[in-house]
Amino acid sequence: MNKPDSTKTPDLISEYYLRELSPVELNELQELLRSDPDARLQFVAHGRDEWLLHHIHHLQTQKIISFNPRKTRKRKIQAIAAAVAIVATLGTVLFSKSATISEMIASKPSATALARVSDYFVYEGQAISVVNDGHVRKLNAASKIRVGDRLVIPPGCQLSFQYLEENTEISLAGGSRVYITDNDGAKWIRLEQGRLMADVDKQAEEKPMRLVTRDAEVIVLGTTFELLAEKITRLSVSSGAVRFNSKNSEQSVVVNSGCLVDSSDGPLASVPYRMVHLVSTATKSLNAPVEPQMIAVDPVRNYNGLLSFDLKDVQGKILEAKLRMRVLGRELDIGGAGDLRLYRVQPGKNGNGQRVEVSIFSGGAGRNKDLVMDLDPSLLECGENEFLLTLDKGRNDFWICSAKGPVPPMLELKVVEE
Amino acid sequence: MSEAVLIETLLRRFYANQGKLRGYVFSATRDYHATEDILQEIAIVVAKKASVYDTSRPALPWFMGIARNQIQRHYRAKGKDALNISYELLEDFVPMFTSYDNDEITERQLALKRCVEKLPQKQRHIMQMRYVEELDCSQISKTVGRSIQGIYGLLKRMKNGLRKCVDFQLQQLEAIK
Repeated sequence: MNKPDSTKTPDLISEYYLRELSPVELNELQELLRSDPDARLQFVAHGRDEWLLHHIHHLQTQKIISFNPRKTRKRKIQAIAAAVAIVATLGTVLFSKSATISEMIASKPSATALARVSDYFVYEGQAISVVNDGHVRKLNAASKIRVGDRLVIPPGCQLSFQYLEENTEISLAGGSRVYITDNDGAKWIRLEQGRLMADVDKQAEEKPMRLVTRDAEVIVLGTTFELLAEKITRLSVSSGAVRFNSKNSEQSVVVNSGCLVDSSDGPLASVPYRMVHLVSTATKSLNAPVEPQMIAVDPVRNYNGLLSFDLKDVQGKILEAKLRMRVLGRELDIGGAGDLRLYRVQPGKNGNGQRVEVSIFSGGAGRNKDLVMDLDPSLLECGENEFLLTLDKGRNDFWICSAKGPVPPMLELKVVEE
Repeated sequence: MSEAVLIETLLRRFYANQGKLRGYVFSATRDYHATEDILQEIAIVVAKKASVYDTSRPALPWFMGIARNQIQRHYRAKGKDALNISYELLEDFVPMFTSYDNDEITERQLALKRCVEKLPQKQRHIMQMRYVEELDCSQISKTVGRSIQGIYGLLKRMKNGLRKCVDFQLQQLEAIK
């Protein structure tokens, strides 16, 4: 094997942190790192400097004065507390166990306030936690959202906040993770995962609001839209116009009212979409002797739910599908919690026969709140679709409003022309 | 040992190794936010698996294994092939260095901040685009109307200049001590 050219070391190392190296360049760099201790030293030093440049600019956008010269015992405990708090909240996300952040680890926020909570719901035992520069706090209905906040919204919970001194409102669905900051007066949100709905007041032209996901950027001057960050990023605009930049393809497009765009491969194109709302044609509780206005889902008593939707009149390609169900309660019930599974089943067989799991909701949903399950649209069929709703053992049963109740289950479809 | 005590013990070990883990994760992802998120995820997995962890074993290799899984998840979620230095190679040498440890970072960070403030306005603007707005070099090149190679060159020169400035400041600080 040829000896790597060590004169190229600084260039390749430096460029590794600036761009994607080609496979040939990457091999060359790896050979250098294997054979040359000095290259390894330089590699780590370059990486550290690149990380530090990100870090000091990140702190600058938070308008927080740089941290203490030495890590004190208090800082160490705060850092550990931060990790524990994240564990507590994400634990609820991951395992649907009840968890609350202890008040003892909540610390006084110091970053500039940007917004205030305008709507807030958490299921009993859960919490929306905020981490900001090692400080942890638990949100409540009177909380402020501050520069540099990282928010975790557990499934079944909801959060809306309104920016101070204007009407711009952001709503976050359960299961979302966001980072919020301010770049010299321009609003900046990174949606790591989940779904965000925004109603944005007119912004100064030189300071548009920016929303960033891992593969796209949205630039907003004033509009209403929804942003979904999952495997791809999808922007759907309800009013106004929004610029969408794809980080992968480096293309950019203006998305107008009633149109959507996503970051999937291929040319970036804004296409018209429409929302279709289908009310369940039939629902029933399997095995449960309860009133017809309710569907009971309780694994202990073997109660399951059955729901039907007729998709025969839906024309076009379904991009997103959400099943929205109103959670009711009986007497002192607070709602339901656990792993709620939705299966597509063969129509007319009362839930028996072949099952295809189309969605799972892991978390809690409060009484009189909507429980929303995202469905994989590719698993929906043209015509009659029947779904079986079951709950895994070990948590609190669900009571859901049936097709005969005041708020019947609804299938919300986002559809584009084929 | 109760589970709560075990979690705290392991998180303390995690915290003690955070610099090395940060170096490893950032070297593999080159993404500041992803790195911080992955460090959070590692803490979660550590707490989740505390009850099955044998405390007589060294913790760092275990943390590194978790980190590798999280990095792979990160790339899968991005739907991209990971064009990074191989994990084995990074695991081999990055933990040998203390460059990302707090004791080494703190003074360097303060010096770097002073050096960045001394940059000419145009260069600071490029820095803002790269590190605040998180634009890549091709996006910066379009914004400022220069070639992408020109932006690579400029950023490399700026970073080299900043490193010299930081080293000079740290030497002066050492001399005063």
